[in-house]
Amino acid sequence: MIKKALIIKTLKQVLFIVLITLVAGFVSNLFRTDKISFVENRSKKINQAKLSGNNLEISLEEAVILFRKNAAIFIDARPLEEYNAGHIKDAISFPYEETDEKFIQVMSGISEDNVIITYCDGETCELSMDLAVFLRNTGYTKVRALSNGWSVWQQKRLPVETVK
Amino acid sequence: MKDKIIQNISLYLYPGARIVLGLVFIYASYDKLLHPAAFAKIIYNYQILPNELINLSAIFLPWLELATGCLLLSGVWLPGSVFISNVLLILFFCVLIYNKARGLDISCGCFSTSSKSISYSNLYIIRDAAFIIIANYLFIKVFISPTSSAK
Repeated sequence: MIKKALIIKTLKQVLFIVLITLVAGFVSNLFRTDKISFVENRSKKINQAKLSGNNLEISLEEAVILFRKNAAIFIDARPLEEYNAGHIKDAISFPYEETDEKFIQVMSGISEDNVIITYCDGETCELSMDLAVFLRNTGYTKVRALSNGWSVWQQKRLPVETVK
Repeated sequence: MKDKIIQNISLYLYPGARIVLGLVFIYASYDKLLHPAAFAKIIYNYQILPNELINLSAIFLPWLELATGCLLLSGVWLPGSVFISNVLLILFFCVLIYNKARGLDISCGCFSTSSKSISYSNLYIIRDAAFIIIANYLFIKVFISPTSSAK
């Protein structure tokens, strides 16, 4: 059984540690050059990025048309394990975390004239957008990102495949 | 002879566990302290906290880790620091399990703010579990069976 005195002592210490670190965090953030705002509305930021993002985002309808015409290359930005578990049919795996290592291997066979659609999973997943921006910067000007791609693709029961 | 070996092991086990966990916390805080914006993005990627709390956590958590690590390492205020280390590790463990269960495999950000660290969530879960064992051991030593070595 823990003694009451020890519990009180612990609580006092915890409170003090938290207070000290709160002060340290706030003060250091006020004076550092790379400070961040204390509160940031990220959903608004993302929406703005989508609106002004050079038409980076593609709608599901548009993506499906390109898919049916075989006119676009789909790139899966999620980790390889998730790609193996299931992905859009004929999509290529290019995990955003390994862009530097895998860039030549993945993109060497793809011409810059190709329409590319990147996707990941989840409404707030930024991997597809990050990958799309990365690819645009490397010269692939026709790259678009399909927001929440894997989920919406499955919901519409569009063609998928897995790696065994 | 055997008793003496066991006695010796237990003599070093307690300070050893304290130092290892202290170093883990200090190491974990280092990169996050240097790059708060990158850490904020990692917290955002976990999709657990509401928007309003993300930057506050990114500013505050690394300092809490650093303070906890330093206190564990120095052996000062052990009840408080051991308690906080247990809470943080268990909380992080729950977040990892929760995200694993809902299929979200986002760069862990435990030791680095680089999103390039490969997101093998299983590895992070096992690693965190190992740290929890150490933290639990310290908890027992400090709270349940305090000996002369635990202040």
